[in-house]
Amino acid sequence: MKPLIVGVAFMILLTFFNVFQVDQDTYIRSQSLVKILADDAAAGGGLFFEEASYGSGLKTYDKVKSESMIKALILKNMKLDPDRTPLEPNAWTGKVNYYCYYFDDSHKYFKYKNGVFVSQENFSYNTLFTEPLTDYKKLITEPTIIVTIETAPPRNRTTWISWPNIIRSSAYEDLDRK
Amino acid sequence: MKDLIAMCAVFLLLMTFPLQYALNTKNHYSMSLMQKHVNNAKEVARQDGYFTADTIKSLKTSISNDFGIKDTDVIIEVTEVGDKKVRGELIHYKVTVPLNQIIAANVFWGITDQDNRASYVIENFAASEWVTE
Repeated sequence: MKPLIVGVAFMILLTFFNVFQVDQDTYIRSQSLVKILADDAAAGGGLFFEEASYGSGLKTYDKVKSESMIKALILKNMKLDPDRTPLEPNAWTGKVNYYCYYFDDSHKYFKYKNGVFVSQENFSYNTLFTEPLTDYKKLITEPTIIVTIETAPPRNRTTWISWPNIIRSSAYEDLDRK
Repeated sequence: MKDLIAMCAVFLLLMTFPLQYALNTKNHYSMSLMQKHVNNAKEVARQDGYFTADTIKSLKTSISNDFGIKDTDVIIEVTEVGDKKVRGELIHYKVTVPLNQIIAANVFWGITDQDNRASYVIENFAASEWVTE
């Protein structure tokens, strides 16, 4: 009887390990996915320049169009409703926040959070920018968009282990400025 | 003797767990590679405005090699040549791959091969960078 009891106890323990492994693998893949989505959002947002300044040789992002594209990509790709709440509760367990930082030939740095303007400051090229959430450092030498996505982790069935939010940043530079 | 028989039975049950861990790792690795291949193909498609026949073929080959399945088992539904997207429009892509084994030693647990399958799906959008000539 003793081997049976010990065996069943081991089975329960090993089942927990198994569930933990599957959920952790999903968490790791989700981290890569968020990085890819941040890349896509930054690249998508970087496609729009203000026509008036572009005609005079300056590259100034059209923030309205860029924000609209970034929002569309994040909502569609992360399967969120317009309130940024996940449509599939297993994919992300909480609301998603995203931050956009614009540096362009207007020599102003604009910060947006969830598509809403937050602040603007003056800057000059060759400035080292540090993204506040991730400590991601980027030397700004060209018109650049940085997108940071912060999301709650995916479903975790081993509830006594808590995983931190996933935060990933990506920058898109317009390299043919010179 | 009774203890020995019980131990043998328990040992057999416990032996399936290491197999399951190995299978989980293999499936996770395959899914991660698929994520990478799909992302690479998407980057090419963004420049072209759609998924060219070459991009689709190369994606199918990479995924089928990693998963050890036939090319025909990889289902790719993407923006193709007839629906080419210009700069700022969205390219759609959906790639579905069958995972042929989810539970290791499925027959031992009484799970049929048919029930022991699932699909891994990546479906996303990306902004096209293609500019009309």
